[in-house]
Amino acid sequence: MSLRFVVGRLLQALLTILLLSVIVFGLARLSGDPINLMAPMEASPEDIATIRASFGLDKPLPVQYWYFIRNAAEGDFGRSIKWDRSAAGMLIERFPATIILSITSMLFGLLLALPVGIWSAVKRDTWFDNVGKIVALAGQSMPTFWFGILLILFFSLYIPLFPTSGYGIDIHLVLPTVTLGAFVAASIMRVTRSAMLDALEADYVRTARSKGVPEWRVILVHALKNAAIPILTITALQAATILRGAVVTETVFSWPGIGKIAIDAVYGRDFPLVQASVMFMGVVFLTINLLVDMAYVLLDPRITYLRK
Amino acid sequence: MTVATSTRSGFLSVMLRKIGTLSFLLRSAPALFLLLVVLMAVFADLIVPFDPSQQDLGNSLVGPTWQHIMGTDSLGRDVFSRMVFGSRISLIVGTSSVAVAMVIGVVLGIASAMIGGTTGEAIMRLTDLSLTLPGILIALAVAATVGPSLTNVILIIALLYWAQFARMARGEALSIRERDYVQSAYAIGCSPWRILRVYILPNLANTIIVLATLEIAAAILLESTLSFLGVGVPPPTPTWGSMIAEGRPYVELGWWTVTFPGLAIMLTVLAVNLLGDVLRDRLDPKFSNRR
Repeated sequence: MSLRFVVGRLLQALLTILLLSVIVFGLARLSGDPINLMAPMEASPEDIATIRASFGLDKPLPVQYWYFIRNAAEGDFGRSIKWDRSAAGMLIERFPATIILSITSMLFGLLLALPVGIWSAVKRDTWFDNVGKIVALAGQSMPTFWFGILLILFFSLYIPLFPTSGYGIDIHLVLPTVTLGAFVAASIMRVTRSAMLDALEADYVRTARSKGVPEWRVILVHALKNAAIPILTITALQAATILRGAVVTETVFSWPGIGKIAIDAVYGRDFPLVQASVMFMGVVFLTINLLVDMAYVLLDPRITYLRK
Repeated sequence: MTVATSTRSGFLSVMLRKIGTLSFLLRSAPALFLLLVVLMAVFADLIVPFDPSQQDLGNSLVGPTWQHIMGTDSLGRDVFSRMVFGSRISLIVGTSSVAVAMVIGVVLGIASAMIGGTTGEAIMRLTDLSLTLPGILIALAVAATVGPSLTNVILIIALLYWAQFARMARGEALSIRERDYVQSAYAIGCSPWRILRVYILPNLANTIIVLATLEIAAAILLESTLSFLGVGVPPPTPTWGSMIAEGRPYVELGWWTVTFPGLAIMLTVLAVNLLGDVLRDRLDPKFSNRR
C-alpha cells in the first residue's frame, strides 16, 4: 500500500466531511429562524436580539460557517435545544448502544449468511439453492421497519417471548438484532454464494479432491479460504449499511442509540442535535469506508488502485 | 448453465426439475406483476370499492371481510383502497426520482468524460464525494427542514442517487470513445455532438436502463422509509410507508393494517429487482451474475 494512496484517501475523506459540513450548515439556515423555537412567546425584540447574539446568529453567514467549522473541529456542536446539554456529549453517551446493536446484528447476519451461502454454492441449482436465492432477494427487497414490526407482532404481542421495545443487553437485544441482522445477511449470503462458486471451480479444488482430501475440508478450508476476500469486503461494506439500517431499527424498537437520537432531533427541530448527529454518523461512516478500502488493498495485493 | 448430472430420481427431484422448466414463467412473472401494479395505479379510481380517505369510525379495525377485503384501519378507512392509491406514490416517486437522477448523472458523467481536464476531474471528485454521504440521514434532515411534499421527496431521492449514474456513464463513455470506429469517426471530422449522439448515447443506453431499473427498486424502498418516518409525501395522500406507520400503534388489534402495505412494498421492489436481473442478462451480459 503506497503512501500516496493512503494520503489520497485521507484527503478525500476530509473533503467529504467538509462537503457534509456545508450541507449540514446550509440545512439549518434553510429551515427558518431557530430563534423562534428557542425564545419564549412573551420575549421582547430586545430579548430575541440578545439570544440571537448569544448564539452568534447575528453574524453574516460565512462568519457563522467559520464558527461552526471551528467549533465542530473541537467536537463542539452547540447545545441541544430540547435537552440543554452538549449535543456531542449526548451522541457519545448514546453511541455504545448503537455499537452493541451493530455488533450483535453483524454476528447474527454472518451466522445466518455464511452457512447458507456456502451450502447454496455446494448444492448449486438444487431446491436449497433456489429457495436461498429467493429468500435472499426477498430480504433485500423488504422494508426493514416492516420486518421489525412483524417480529414485534409475532414474538412479543402474539407470543410474548421478547419485549416490544426498550434497552438492555439481554432479551431486549434479540428482536432488533434479528431485524438489522436479516437486513445485512441477504447481501452477504449472495456474495458468499458466488465467491464460493468461483472457488469451487478452481484448479486447486480439483487437485485437493483428486488427492483425496475429505470433501468437508475441501469446502471449508481450500475453497472458503480463497473465497474470503469478497466475503470480507462485502461484510465490511455492510458495516456501513448497518449504520444506515440502525436509524430505522432503533426507531422501531425505541433503542436509545444515535439513530434514535437523530430522528427525535429531526422531529423536535432540535437543530444543533440534528447537525451533530448527521456529522457524527457521517464521520463514522467515512471512517469505516476508509478502513475498508485500506483493508482491501492489504488483503488483496492484486488491487493497487493505480490509475492507468 | 449446465444441468447437474444428478443420478437422483424420485418424486422430489422430478418435481423440482419441473419447477426448473417453469423458469420461463418465473422470468416473466416480475414484468407481469409490475404491469398489474401500474394498471392498479392508473385505474385506481375505477378499481377501489371505497374512497381511500372516507372515515367510518363505527367500522374501525374491522378484519378482512368480503366487503373490506383487506380490512379497515383505525379510522375505519378501507385498507385495500388506500393500498391501491398508495401504489401511485410509490411508482411516481420511484420512476421520477430515478429519471431526474439519471438525467443529472448521465449529463455530468458524459460531460466529465468528454471535457476531461480539471473540470472533468472536479465532476468526478464531486461524484465520489456524494457517493460516500450518509444518504438516509441527509434525506431526513432535508425533508424535515424544507418540509415534506411530493416534489421534495422526488428531488431528495434524485440528489442522493445521481452519482451512480454519473460514475457509470463516465466509465462507459471513456471506453466507448477509445473504440476504433469512434476514433475513425473523429479522424474523418465528425463533430463531438454527432459522436455523442450516434455512438456514445446508443451504446450507453443498455447499461443505463439496467442501472435505472435497480435504482428504481432502491428508490421505492427509500420512499417508503421516508414515509414511514413521517417525512415523505404528507397526509391525507395514502402511501405504503405511512400506512404502516399509522397502523403500527394498533398492530395487535389489526395485523392487516401493517401486513398488506408491507407486502405491497416487498413484492413491488422484489419484482423490480428481478426485472433488473433479467434485463441485465439480456441487455448487459458483461455484468451478468447469472450462475
